[in-house]
Amino acid sequence: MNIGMSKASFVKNEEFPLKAKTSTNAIALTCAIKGIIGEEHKFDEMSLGIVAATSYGPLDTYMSSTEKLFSRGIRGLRPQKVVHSVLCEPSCQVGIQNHAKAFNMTFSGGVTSGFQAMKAAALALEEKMAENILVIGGDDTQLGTVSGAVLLGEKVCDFHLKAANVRFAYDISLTDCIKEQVVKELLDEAGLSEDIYTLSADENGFERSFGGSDIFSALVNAQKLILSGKENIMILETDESGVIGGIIVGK
Amino acid sequence: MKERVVITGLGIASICGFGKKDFWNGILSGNSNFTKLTDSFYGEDFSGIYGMLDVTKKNEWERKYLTEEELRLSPCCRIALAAAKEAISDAGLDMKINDVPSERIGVSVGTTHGDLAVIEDLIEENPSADFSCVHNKVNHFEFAASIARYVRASGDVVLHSDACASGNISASYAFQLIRSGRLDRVIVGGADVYSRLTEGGFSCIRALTNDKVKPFDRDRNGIILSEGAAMLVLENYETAKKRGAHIYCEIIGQGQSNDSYHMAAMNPEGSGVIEAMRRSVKDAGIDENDIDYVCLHGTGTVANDACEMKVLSEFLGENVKDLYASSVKGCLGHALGSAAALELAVCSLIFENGIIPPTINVENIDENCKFKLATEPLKINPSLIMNSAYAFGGSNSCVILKKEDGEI
Repeated sequence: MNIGMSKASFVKNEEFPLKAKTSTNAIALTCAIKGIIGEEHKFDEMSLGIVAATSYGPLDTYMSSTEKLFSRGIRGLRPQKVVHSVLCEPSCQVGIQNHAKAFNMTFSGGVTSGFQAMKAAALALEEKMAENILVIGGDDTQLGTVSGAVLLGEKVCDFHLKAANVRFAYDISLTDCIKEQVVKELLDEAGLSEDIYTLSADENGFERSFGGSDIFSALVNAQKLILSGKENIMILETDESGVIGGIIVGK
Repeated sequence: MKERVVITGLGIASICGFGKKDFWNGILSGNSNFTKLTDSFYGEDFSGIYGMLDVTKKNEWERKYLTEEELRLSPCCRIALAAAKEAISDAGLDMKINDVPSERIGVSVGTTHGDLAVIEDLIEENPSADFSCVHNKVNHFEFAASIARYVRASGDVVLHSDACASGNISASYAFQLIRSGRLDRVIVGGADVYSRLTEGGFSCIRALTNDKVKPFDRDRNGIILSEGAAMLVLENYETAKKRGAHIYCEIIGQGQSNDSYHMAAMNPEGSGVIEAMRRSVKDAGIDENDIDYVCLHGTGTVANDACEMKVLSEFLGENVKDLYASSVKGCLGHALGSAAALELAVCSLIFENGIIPPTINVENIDENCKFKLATEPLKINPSLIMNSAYAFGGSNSCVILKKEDGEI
C-alpha cells in the first residue's frame, strides 16, 4: 500500500456559535478540513468520497433536541435543527459542503474508530469507489469539540499511508497476542522491518484524544516526526471495547 | 482472483414476525403491528403511529437466544445479538467448531441511531445530564462488539451508521472484505429500536403519515417508523460449500454514491441514486436490463417515491416496463438502520421461494410508475435482484444479488 496523504489537522476546544443550525461536531469538522484543503485542490465531485469516525456523532444536537422534546413537546423542536441529530450528520454536512458525491460512510466506535475509517478508505480506493477520500473524525466532549481530518488519494503526496489494519480481541486475554498480529501484518503490508518508530497513547507517544478524533492527534505528531527526519512511523491504538488499530505513515 | 460471496444464514426481528418463516408469511400477507403512540410529552395534537415489535414475542425470542448476562444489554444490542445468533443457527454454524480461523471472521453491522433510546432515558431522568454522563453510560459500538464476542471474530469488527442505508452499506463493506480475500465469514445486518426523538423529529419535518404507508400510490402521504433487526451470515463461497451450507443467494456487486444535497431531502433529479445503480451493475459485471426485480426503497413519501420512479425510468429506459419491483415498507414500516438489512433478508427469501412480495395498501398506482409494481405476491423466479437504499443525509446504496447456481 502506498497511498498519498495530505497534512493532517487536529482541532480542539473551538468555540462555536450557539445558534448554528448544524451540530458542533459538523462545524468542528469543517474547521479541521479548512486546515487541509486549499485552493489547489479541485475535485471532480464524483471522485471525492468521505469516511467518518465518531463515537457519538452530533451529541450536542441529540441532547438539546431530546431535552426540548420532553419539556415542550414536538412544538419545541425546530425542523432545521432536529434533522441534524442523526448519528451520521457530521459526515453528511461535510459531504454537502465539499460536494463529495462518490460515497459517504460513517464508522461509530471508540478511539479506534478513526483507524477503522482509515482502513475503509484504503479499501475504497483499492475498489475504485473514489479517487480521493476525506477521512474525518470528531466528537463532543465536556471540554469542547475535538475533530480532525486528512485527505487520501491521488491529489496529495505530502506523506504516504503505507499500511492500515484493525482487529478485534473477542476475549480480553487475547489483546496482547492480537496486537502483535496487527503489528506483524502492518509491517508486512508496508514491507518494513521491526525497528520502526512507534507511537502509542498507552506509552505516551501522543496525547489520547476522544473517539473519532484520536487518530488525528496521533497523525499530526507522526507527521511532525517525519518532517524532522524519521522515515516511517507506526501508530497503534487499543480501544476498551477490544478493537486494536494501527497504521504506518511515511514520507 | 476475486472470491465469491454468498448468504448462508438469516436472523430476523420485525413487526411482521420473528424468524424467517413468520417474517416471510407476514410480508406476503401484509400482517404487521403498528401501534398508536399515546405518550403525552409529544403534545396534545400529536397522532403518531409506530411499528413496535410485539413485546411478548420479543421477550420470548430474546430469552430463546440470549444468556442472563446478555439480557442486560441495551434494547438495540439485545435484538441485534439475538438476530445474529438466529442467523448463525440458520446457517448451521456451531461456534464450538473452528472451521474458519478467528482472524478470518468479522462483523459489519449498522444502525441509524444505536443506543439513542438509552440517551433519551438518561435525559428524561436527568434533564441536565451532560456529555460525560452519556460517555460513561452509552457505548453504541457494543452492538457490534457483543456479536463479535459471540462469533469469536478477531477480523474487522465495525459499526456503520449511514441512516437508512446502514444495512446495505454494512453488507457492501463485508462483501468487499470477503471478495478481496481478507475475510471468509462476516455477520452483517442492522438494527434500530423505538426512539422518541426520532419519532418527534420525523413528525416535526412532516414526514409521517397517520394513515397507512402507501408506497407508489397516487395519494401516498408519508412513512411510519418501526423497530426491527435483521442479521445475515455472509461467507466465501468455497468456505460455505466445503461445510455443506445452504446457500440462499450470492452477492455479486455493490454501488454507492452521495447526494451531497440536503440533510433531509433527496436530490429530486436523482443523479446520486442513478449513479449508485450504475456503479452497482458495473461492479457486478451485468447489464442493467438483466435485473429481474428491484426491492425498492419505497418509503411512501411523495418525494422519495417520485425520485425512485424517475430514476428507474432513466436507468432502464424503455425496458423499465419489463421490470418487476415492490416496496415492503407498507408492511414493515421504515425500520431505519435495519430497513435495508430486512430487505436483504426479503431478497434472500425471494430466491428461496421464487415469489416477489407485494406492495401493500396501494389503491391507485401513481401514473409515473412505469415498472411493474407488484401489489400481490407474484411467482416470477427472479435470477438477479437489486436491493436499493437511499438515506437521510444523502448516502445511496445498491446491492446486486444473484440466484445461486453453483457456477464459478
